[in-house]
Formats: sequence, C-alpha cells, structure tokens
Amino acid sequence: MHSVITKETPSDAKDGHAPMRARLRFKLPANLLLLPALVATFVAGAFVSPVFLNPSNIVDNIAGSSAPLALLSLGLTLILLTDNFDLSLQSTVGFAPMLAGLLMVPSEFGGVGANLNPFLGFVIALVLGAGIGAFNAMLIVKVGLNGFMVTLSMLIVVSGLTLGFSNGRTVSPLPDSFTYLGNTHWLGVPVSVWLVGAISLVIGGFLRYHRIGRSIYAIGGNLEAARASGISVDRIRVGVFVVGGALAALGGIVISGITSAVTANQGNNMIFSAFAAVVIGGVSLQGGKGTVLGVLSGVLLLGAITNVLTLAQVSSFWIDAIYGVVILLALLVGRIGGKGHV
Amino acid sequence: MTHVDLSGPPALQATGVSVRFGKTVALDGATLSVQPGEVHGLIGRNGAGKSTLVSVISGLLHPHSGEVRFSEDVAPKAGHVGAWRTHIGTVFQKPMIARELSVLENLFLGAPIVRGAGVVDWSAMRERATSALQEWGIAVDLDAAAGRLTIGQQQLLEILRIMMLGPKVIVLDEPTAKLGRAEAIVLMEHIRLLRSRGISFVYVSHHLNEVLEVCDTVTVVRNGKNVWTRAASDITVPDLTEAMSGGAVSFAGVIDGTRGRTNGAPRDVLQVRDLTTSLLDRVSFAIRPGECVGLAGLKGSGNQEVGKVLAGLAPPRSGVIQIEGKPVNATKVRTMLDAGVGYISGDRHFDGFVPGMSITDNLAMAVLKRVSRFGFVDERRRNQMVSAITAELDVVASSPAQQVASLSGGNQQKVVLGRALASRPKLLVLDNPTAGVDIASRESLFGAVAAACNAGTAALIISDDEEELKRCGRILVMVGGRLSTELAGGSSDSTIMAAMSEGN
Repeated sequence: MHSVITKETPSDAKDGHAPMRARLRFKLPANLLLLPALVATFVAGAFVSPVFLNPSNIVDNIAGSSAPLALLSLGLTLILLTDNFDLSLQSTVGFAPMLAGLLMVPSEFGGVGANLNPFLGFVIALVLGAGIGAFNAMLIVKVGLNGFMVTLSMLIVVSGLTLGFSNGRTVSPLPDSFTYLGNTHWLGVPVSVWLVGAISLVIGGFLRYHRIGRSIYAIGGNLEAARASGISVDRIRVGVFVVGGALAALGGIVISGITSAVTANQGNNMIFSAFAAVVIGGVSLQGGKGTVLGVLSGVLLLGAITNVLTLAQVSSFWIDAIYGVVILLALLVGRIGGKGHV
Repeated sequence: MTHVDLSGPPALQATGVSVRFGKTVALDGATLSVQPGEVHGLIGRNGAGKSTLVSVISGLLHPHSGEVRFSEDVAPKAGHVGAWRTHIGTVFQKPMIARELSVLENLFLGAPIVRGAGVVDWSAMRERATSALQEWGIAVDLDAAAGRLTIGQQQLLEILRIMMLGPKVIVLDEPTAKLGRAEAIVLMEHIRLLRSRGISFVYVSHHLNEVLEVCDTVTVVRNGKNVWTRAASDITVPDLTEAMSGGAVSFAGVIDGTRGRTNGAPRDVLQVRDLTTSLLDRVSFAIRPGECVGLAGLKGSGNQEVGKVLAGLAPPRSGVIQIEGKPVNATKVRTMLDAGVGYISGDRHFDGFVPGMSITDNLAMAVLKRVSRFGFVDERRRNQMVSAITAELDVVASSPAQQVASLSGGNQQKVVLGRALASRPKLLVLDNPTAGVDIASRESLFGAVAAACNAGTAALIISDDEEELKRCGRILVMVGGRLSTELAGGSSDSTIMAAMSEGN
C-alpha cells in the first residue's frame, strides 16, 4: 500500500540519482520545440540552393504542397488526442474525391455519366469521409473492436474500393470549381494555405476554449475520470472520427485540385507522414497531449525537408531513406528537448 | 496446537524491520516470527504497516534496517525473485493469474520444468500437475483457460503454483475478500491440510472472527510497530479491535450537520428503497439535508457498490432511488450528476483525475457547461471557481496550472473532492475519501465536507476505516450485501470494527 504512495509522487523523489534525461532537458515552450530544427532546415536549404529562400518556393512549394498533409494531420490529431487512431484516413484521401470525380466527370472522360454539380460533388466527398470515420468509430467505440485492426482493415477495404470503382484509372479533368481549392491563389498565396490557416484557427480555438475541446483532452488523459465527470465520452470519441474523416476527404480534394485529377493510388503512404508530423509536433500517442501549433510546425518541418532534398537533387531512390532518418532525428531532438512522452 | 513445531528454529523470522517512504515511517522495528506448521494472523487497520511488512517478507521491498531469515538462513538479496520463491510464496489480493493461459501453464508460470537447453518438458509438467490436482482434490481441466475458473479455484490455483516451488511459508493477503462462504471453507480445509505437513502461513485479514478461527497465533501491528503477539485461543474479537485502535478515544469532531438541516430542503435528500444488484440485497436507507452518514463495511460487503450505483456507474437490478423526493433512473453518470450527486471513487488513480492535466482543468472538468458561454469556456468565470475551491480545500501547489500528477497524494485527493464539490451537489458520495492521505490533508478534506454539510449538502461516506467513519453523524453497517446495523455517531473504533466484521 505504501509503495504505491511513493510511486504517485515522483516529484518527491530525492534519491540523488535523477534520470539522465532530466539533466539533458533545456526548457523551451512545447510549441516552439521544433523552432531550432526548422531554422536548421532553412539554413541548410539556403546553402543547398539559391532558389530555396525565394518567396514563391516557400509559399507554393513548401506551404502549398504541405496543405493536404496538414489537413490530414489535423484530423489525425483530433483522434489521437482521445487516445484512438485511424490508419484508414489515407484511403479516404483517395476514395472521397475519386467517387465524387466519377460522379462529376462526363462519361467520355471515364465518369459514370451522372454529370453531378461540382458543389454537390464537394459535399458528397466530405460526407463520404465523415461516413467512413463514423463507421470506424462505430466498430471501435460502440462494438469495442481493436482500433489498430479495424482501421488497418478499413485502410485496405477503402483503397480497394477506390481501385474497384475507378478500374485503376485516373479520373481527369475535374470541373474547375472542384479544383478551386487546389489551384487558385488569393493575394499570392494558395487558397489551400488560407484554408489550412482558417481550419487551424477553428480547431485550435475549439480545443483551447470550447468545452468539448477541453473534454477531448480529459478523455485522452484518463477516460474513466472523464466518464465519471459526466462528459459524454462516447459521443465525443465518435465525433473526432467523423471530423477526422471529413478533414481527410478535404485534404484529398486539395490534392486533386493541385493535379486536376484523381489517381487510383492518391493518398497512399500519406498516413505515415501524418503520424510522423504529429508526433514530431508533440502530440502524444497515448492521448491527451498536443497542440495545433505543434502539429503545423511538424508538417512544415517535413515539407521543408522534402523541399531541401528535392532542390539538392538527391536521387529519388534515396529520398525515402533520408526522409526516414530525418524523422528519427526529429524524434530524438523532441525527446531530449521536450518532456519526453513521445 | 500439536501441529506447530515449537522445538526447531522459526520457519520465518523478521526482526527490527524499518521502512520509510520519504518522511512517512511505514514500519518501525516490526518483528514477525512464524514456527513451522503455524498459521500466523497478521492484523492491523489500513496504513498500520501490514502490507509493507508483507512486501518485506516476500522480498519485494528492501527494508532500511532489520533482516529476514528463513529457518535460520539469511534471506536472499532483494530483487532475486527466483531465490525468494523457494522460501516463501505470497498470494496477493489481486489474482496473479494469466487469464488466457491454461491451468497447466499457470501452474508453472515463470518456472516451467525444462530439459537441457531450456526446452520445456510438457509431459513432465502435465504429470506433476495431474498428481498435484488429485492430491488436492481439485477437479479442473488442465487445458481450460484459467480465467474461466471461479475466483475460489483461481486462488487455490495460485496456492498450488506457489507449492510447486516448495516454499515453507505461504502468505495469504485477504484471501477470503472475494470468496463466498463455501469457497472460504474449502480454502480453510486446505490450509489445515498443508499446515499438518509443516507448511507455515502468514494470514492477513480484516475479518477478525475468521482470523481467530483459522490462526494459531495473532500479531497486531499499529503505526508500523508491533502491539503484541498472542495465541489465538486466548483472545477475543474485542481484544483485537482494542489493540488495533490502541484504545484511542476519538477527539475528532463528528459532523452532525444540525446547521445544515435548517438551511436545506425539508425532505430527505436521498432515499434508497430495496436497492438490489448482483452484489446488493434489498438495501434501504435515507439521508436528510446536512446529514453526514457513514456506510461502513469491509471490502466485498457491498458498501462500495452502493456508491457506484449512486454515481450511475452500476445500474441497479431493482429498487427505487429518490433525490429530494424525485425518482431517478441511475443508469447514466450524467443523469446522476444532473440529479445532484457528486461522487468520488475509491480509486483516484483509476477514475479520479486526469494526471497530465492542470489543477484548473481537472476541477472544471465536470462543470464545463456551467463555466461556458455559448459552448466556449469563460476563463475568468472558471478561474474564479477554481481559486475559490483551491482556497477552501487548501490545495498546496505552485499554481493552478500545475499538473495533478506532480501533486502529493493528499493534494490529488483534494482536487478530486474539489471536482465533486464544483458541481454544487445536493448529495456527496465519498468512497474512502482519505485513504492513503496524510493527516493534515485528511483534516482539510473533512473540513470541506463539514462546510458542505453545514450549507445543507448531505454526505454519504463509504469506508472501512474507523478514522473516517467516526466523523459521521450516524453509521450504517453493511455485511454481505445487506444493511446489518446502525450505529450512533462517535461510536468507538472497536464498536465500528466489530460491527463490520460481524458474521464473517
């Protein structure tokens, strides 16, 4: 009984041999932890190529290309904060715009001939994403199946559906109003970047100031305590899956807008970058910890690194290996600089 | 006592054992000596040092001073689990079986019979297991999953597993807490059988009648020290209760809530009629405004179950619950919170608080709606509420932004109580509210309860600790899922203890 008491007050431990990690810590606000890494990447980029610091490179190539990953990562973050996760988000990235595309594009370009209104297509894509999220949530939260297995299966099922419906073909060209988010600029900045900014403000404010946002952290921090406090635990856990799915679909729409097409493998492997971005950005895989600002800097860091590697003309066959090593390094830096818990 | 071998050296001898946790002295020169073939009762109330002593003699905890010997051999070094297990085996309150593995695999868990090169010898294990089960008269399938056995069978399985390694001493920590009477009798029979073969037992229990029934000798500990060791045949239950409490007269104020009664609504805050669940049998009682009522009972008596029902965590099978005269359907936490029940559970680490969140967020968790405007948290209003509660409960922290995980146990519990108070309940249901809490924090906690009662809130204190129960205006005692008696407020420790262990 007493041994339990000593465990619950780790701060009282005065045994003189505090763990090594504690001594290595230098304090930085959690949100700014990635700042040194970002600065280092930008300095490296400036040396690698004179083009790197060019505003259009930063705004279009780094920020603009990172927008879909940012949307996906924000959705994943909401789910991770409640101590769940969803691998199938990456399949939604391809499936939602693909189905919408098939419904909108004329039959001579591979559509089904429904010639759907692009706005309706947009809405249908979002609803599909939300629906896939709801289905996952049903199986995980209500039925109680294992989240890893459910969403892994759904990843396979949904990407399989994308292939099946499209016969593996690329659907193109998409209606202009559908690609608006991906290929238009406002004040010289891609609309997708404005979109990410606006959604980040909404989600960030929601998490920080809304009572459901506060409840999300409580659920991820201690599900039972949240339940005992009268928080509608299950409803919120389902809700984050629905929003996460819709954000993944939105990310897919942006990608399709950039290329003005939906390929049958759109979104493949994207979930790994999203996990890397959010964890580097300080979101805990155990739930209850993480901020929008952290996630955005994680996404930006990955985007900047990809850009530097491309500008350095690293052989595309080597990029994956280098990218992976960089993610590991970022995790190590986060472990030493942050409060651990990665 | 013919079976006890008094001539030889003690099978287990712990002398001068002291253990400190930070500033708290858990054991102060405690001593325990058990002869071969002796069943030795170890009793004391919560926090007296029983569990610490069990940890020391089981080799889980290294004492700051003192030593443990087995048949005159100095005990192995702390941490050498394998070496300890050949001397002593402990059956803890929490079942230590792998539920998914078979009975056979559980019997040899961690110590399989191996041939050379670490290859497991299944046929030899099966043979030994079969003969052991036969010898013990336990009829279970060796290949059945252990999780499907009854709790009693699981406990026997654990004892059997311990016996496989041939220790001379077995420690049983509250062995009958989860057993029915029939299963308990089977267990007693096996204890008697083993002791006739020279095996010794250390028997830890709150059930005093049971201790006197099964033990040869009893040692009472209080505040980490031995009170006395006497032969069980010479003593009675009152002797035990007096030794456990030290005959101390309680000076702590009884919360009578007379002031609250005039402030509150005229009718009963809570009325429970014929409440029945799988653990409760037609429990009925009522609490008036401002009253502080104790619901006493040992683990397994059902008193904690009543709390869970009132919190909406355990839907009742039948019965009526009325809050201020209005019937409520106790199937959801939200319903009970809205009806005005503030509950804190007996296990604050399980569902009491969110360790990684700040004090502020933890306190606001249950009342986010009330401190919000249009769904958005009004931080000024929230911070006002938080500072009022932390001041009232005297929470010691560097700032309200401090993580609850980094607070001391007592201050964590203040946060948990504060969260319940924040919803301004009509009825506070507190399950062992001061367990594992230092004395100063205990006073702050009860001060807050008393203040709430004076303001008209009713309180139900669920506990097996006399220190908590004797503060209550009256005490309802539960035994075996039913209400057995009612005691007046300020009853002596020994009266409360005797009433709780009655019929066991």
